[in-house]
Amino acid sequence: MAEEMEKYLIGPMPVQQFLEDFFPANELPRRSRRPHFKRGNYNSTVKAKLEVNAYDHFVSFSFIIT
Amino acid sequence: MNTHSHVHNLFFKVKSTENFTPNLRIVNSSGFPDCNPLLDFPFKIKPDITVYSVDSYPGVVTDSSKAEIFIEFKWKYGDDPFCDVHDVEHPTIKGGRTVKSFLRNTKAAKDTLGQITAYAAAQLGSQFRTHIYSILIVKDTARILRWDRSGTLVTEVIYYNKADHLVEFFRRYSEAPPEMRGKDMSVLDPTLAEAVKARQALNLDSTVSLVKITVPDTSNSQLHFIAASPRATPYTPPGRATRGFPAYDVSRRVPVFMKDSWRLDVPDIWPEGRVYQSLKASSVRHVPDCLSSGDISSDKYHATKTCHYTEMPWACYTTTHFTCHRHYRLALDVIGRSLTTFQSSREMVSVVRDAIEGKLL
Repeated sequence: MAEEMEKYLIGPMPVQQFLEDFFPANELPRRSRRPHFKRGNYNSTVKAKLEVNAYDHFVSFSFIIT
Repeated sequence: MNTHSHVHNLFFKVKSTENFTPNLRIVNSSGFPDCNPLLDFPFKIKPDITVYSVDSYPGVVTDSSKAEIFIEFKWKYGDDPFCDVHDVEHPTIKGGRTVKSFLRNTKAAKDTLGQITAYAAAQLGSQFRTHIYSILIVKDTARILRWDRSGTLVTEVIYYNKADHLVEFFRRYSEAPPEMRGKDMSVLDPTLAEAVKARQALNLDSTVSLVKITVPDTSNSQLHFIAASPRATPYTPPGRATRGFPAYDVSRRVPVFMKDSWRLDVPDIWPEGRVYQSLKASSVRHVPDCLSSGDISSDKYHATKTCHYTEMPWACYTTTHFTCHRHYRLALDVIGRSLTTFQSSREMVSVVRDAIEGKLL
């Protein structure tokens, strides 16, 4: 499948253009209040030693306060 | 005494990605093979994370017939099928001619590409979608992919722990109307009464799931046909993606043959319905009656988009000619049978004769 699919890939598309072309802000409903992204939000995911440990971190942040 | 000893450790576990996606459900599906019963693949797919609409059945973990987005993780950079843009030898013109590429040419990279292509094929084959999105995460980098029937667009690298682009994608996807996500809104659930009649007409038992498919009529109205949900086969997504169904014609109350495909959208290739019309007008014999045919909905979502990006300054691709496709359906009055099910040699010979006669004229 990869050999066939390679012929049909186009990139690397600038991600801002990707978002504006396929999810234009003026065609989306008015945003409700949502938490804002903070740099480091995915610390626990990217720091996972093993790939299998990254999945849950990606779905849920976990942190300990002592 | 250490004051800290009086303080219990507090463990917080909060939904992270779902915080940005109130209309989506994000599941760790890594331990669960695809349970989609409509998958005709020689292997089971097992995406690491699966994203569903929030109104989907909460017990489902991995089901390509219901998934919105598959997310695949790789923890070795060498497994990434994509890389920085670099020069490679032109695939057909030798002698020093180069082209730009963003693909990694190793076995591990191709294995990953094959894997995520299989996920896309499963999803597009077993659902009615004009396009889908998937995400590939390699350690601290992510790329978003948009798959349609003319090809796949791949974003630049996103450092998703440093920049908000991936979260912004989730946020926009979560808020997007279904057709913007890629859902084909011309396919509905049949009513209970319609389903009963369709099952009788098509000889389908109650375990077979049904869909109600809209086909444009020549008089600018729409006809509805009920068919069994399609089965997905392991073909790469680009192409016509033709799916044929024995279907129940709701208005005429008879079984017919329906074809759902992505026709080539070029001026010198006629849509199939027009070919049937022309053959009928010329009184060609042994040609089925085309009951209805036409392009589906508007071209906003039911026309491919990837083919329009080849001229972008950032666009790297091989020398493939990207062809635009348009979503198209037609219904015929005859449901064909396999040639191998003939009841006598006379029947088989006469069918071949009729086909040759129709083709020659």
